Amino acid sequence: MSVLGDLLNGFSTVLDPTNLLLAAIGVTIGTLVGVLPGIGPALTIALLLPVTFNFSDPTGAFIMFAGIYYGAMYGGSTTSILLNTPGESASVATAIEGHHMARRGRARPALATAAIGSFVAGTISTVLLTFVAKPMGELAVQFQATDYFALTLLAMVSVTALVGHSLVRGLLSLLVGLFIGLIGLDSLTGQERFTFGVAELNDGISIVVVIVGLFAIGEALHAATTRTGPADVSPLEPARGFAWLSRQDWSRSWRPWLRGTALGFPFGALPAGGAEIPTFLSYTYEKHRSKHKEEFGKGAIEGVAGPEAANNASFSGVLVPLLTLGLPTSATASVMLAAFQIHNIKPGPQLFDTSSDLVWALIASLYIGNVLLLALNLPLIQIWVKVLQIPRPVLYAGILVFATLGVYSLSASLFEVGVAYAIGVLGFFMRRYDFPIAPTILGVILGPMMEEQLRRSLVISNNDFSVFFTRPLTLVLLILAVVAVFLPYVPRIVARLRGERAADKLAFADED
Amino acid sequence: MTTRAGGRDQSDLTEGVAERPQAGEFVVGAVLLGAAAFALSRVAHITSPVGYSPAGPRFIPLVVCLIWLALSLAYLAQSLRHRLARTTPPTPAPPAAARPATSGEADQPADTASAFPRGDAPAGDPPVPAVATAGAGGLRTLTTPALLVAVLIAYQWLLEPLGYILATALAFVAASRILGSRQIVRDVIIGVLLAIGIYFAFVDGLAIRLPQGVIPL
Repeated sequence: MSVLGDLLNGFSTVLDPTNLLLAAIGVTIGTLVGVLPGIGPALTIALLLPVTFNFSDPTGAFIMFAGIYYGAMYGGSTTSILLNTPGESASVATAIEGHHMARRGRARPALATAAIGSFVAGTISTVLLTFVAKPMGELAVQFQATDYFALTLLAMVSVTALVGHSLVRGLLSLLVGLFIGLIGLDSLTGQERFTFGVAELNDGISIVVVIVGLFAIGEALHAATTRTGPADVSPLEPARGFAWLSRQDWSRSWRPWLRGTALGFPFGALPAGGAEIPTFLSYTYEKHRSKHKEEFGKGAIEGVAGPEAANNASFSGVLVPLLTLGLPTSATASVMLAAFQIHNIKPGPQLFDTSSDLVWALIASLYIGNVLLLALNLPLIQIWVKVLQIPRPVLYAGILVFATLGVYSLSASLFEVGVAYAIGVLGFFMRRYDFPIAPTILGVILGPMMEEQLRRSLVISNNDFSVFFTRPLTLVLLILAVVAVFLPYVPRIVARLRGERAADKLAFADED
Repeated sequence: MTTRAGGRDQSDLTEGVAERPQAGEFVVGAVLLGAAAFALSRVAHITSPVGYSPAGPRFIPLVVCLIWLALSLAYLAQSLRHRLARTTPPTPAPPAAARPATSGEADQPADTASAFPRGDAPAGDPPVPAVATAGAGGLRTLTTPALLVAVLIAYQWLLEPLGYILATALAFVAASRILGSRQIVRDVIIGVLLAIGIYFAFVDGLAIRLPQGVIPL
């Protein structure tokens, strides 16, 4: 009952006309930015952070962020389908089938099944979030420093191990991120670390600067090495059927939507988080289960419906560790955490007590964002198609301008702009030499948390490392972290044991 | 972002498949190793009342730098092994069709290839030959990003003296030209409108200060 009451309270906050307007604006600019090729949800939110700076009430800011997030997701799937340039790795599966559908004159059904699938998945998983979050928060109160240490370690290691083709490169990305996270004053003793006497570095390097540098600037620099021609946007055919879907499309879509949701939410909620694994699992599952197997690779609607639903559901899942433990497990969640910090809100077990109104308003705004998205954005598709046709040089020059603006307006510091450019050069070389980006982001954001919890545990135990092995929960989490490193090699080991040709390392595409 | 797999497909296509990963890998490994060694040497400069005790501020930096160093060595060893494997038998470049299907790039590379001759040479004063020798391939493709970085540095340098609008418009025009645009009039119009639009939206709409510079507003 109390959950329902809290949620109704949240709805009454969100349904206030001002907040509704903010949600609508968020959805629209989120789509506008998210539709740009090469820009995923994490970067969209990072670039739009300054827009909410002067909001006196953080609730409005977060309602807008929820809208921006859903808009960015929807925009990303539009780009994947019409242009075949997924803005983030979680959209790769969508791009495979969706773009084939578009080329065969079925762009509208692909867009519609993505949008409605996202809506269905978003709605169901937000309901799940509603009921999981508070009990999780109550459970999380009992977590101790050693558990937090093991959790952060598990989150970092599992993402690093599963993303990309090489463990060495993935771990190097992680270590570079951890190093960037060390720069600044030590949080416990206030000593300078790796600041090289530069006072501007004392506060450390903001996660927003890292994200804008690695994603926006790195991507623009990388685009400069690949000469891309004018965008080849698939044309839209005339609309047919209810919400662009024929009866057959509906009957082929609804089960994948539900299965995608069932995969997305739990995977997102695990501290090993991320949307890649559930989207690829959903794609693979639909491919094997489909009665239209022959259509896969040529534009099967199930291959759009399932992964898109999984992608959306996993985000609500990612909110579980973010809100209850303060533990971001994806790039997008890291930016959300940065947004929380800007508005002086500390996610964690206490969040549901200290900022109960805000949390429930945020959850309610996820529902509203879903509805608005469907109502506003499907009819506006012609505008998004126009956005896709922006010439590449103009687009990337614009991205550089907006990236600079995002960093400068955040800090009014030219020094930070320079740091973002330097990190952009790093991002360029990481792309060029096939280093995954996601581990670096997680290293920057989770590294300081991990260190703080480690040292706190050791202070309590008088430098006795055995505390990490005597508490069962901590031990289990640490063992899981070790397992995560070896998991991607299981197919290869099995193949070897059977005497077959060595299979590749199990890998999921890099997250944006 | 383009995914890792997608991004690799594109650069492979523009630079020659066999050339890219091996040529610079060794340099990347060496730079990583050097950076790790330098970082490690700075750990001792962290003031710590308890030395290298795990509860002090030096312990984690030490661990991070040591693992970083070890991984750099592993990467360097890998790149050397690749290089040896590559140089002894001159293996032909894998055909484009053999790449993993997960990239979702089924049609993109063809477009990239057809657009290859268009907008290649960077706009800067020294005209870079559009067709370079295979050996110089790695370096040639670095000129465009390098020019772009130069524009960014100039942008950062000029942002406050010139003011947001002027610096942004200039940076936009220069960057789009380097990125291959040849429609200078269009770029100037977009650049100026974008800069003015952002300036007033931020200063008047969001009350976020942007440098005013030389233009009296």
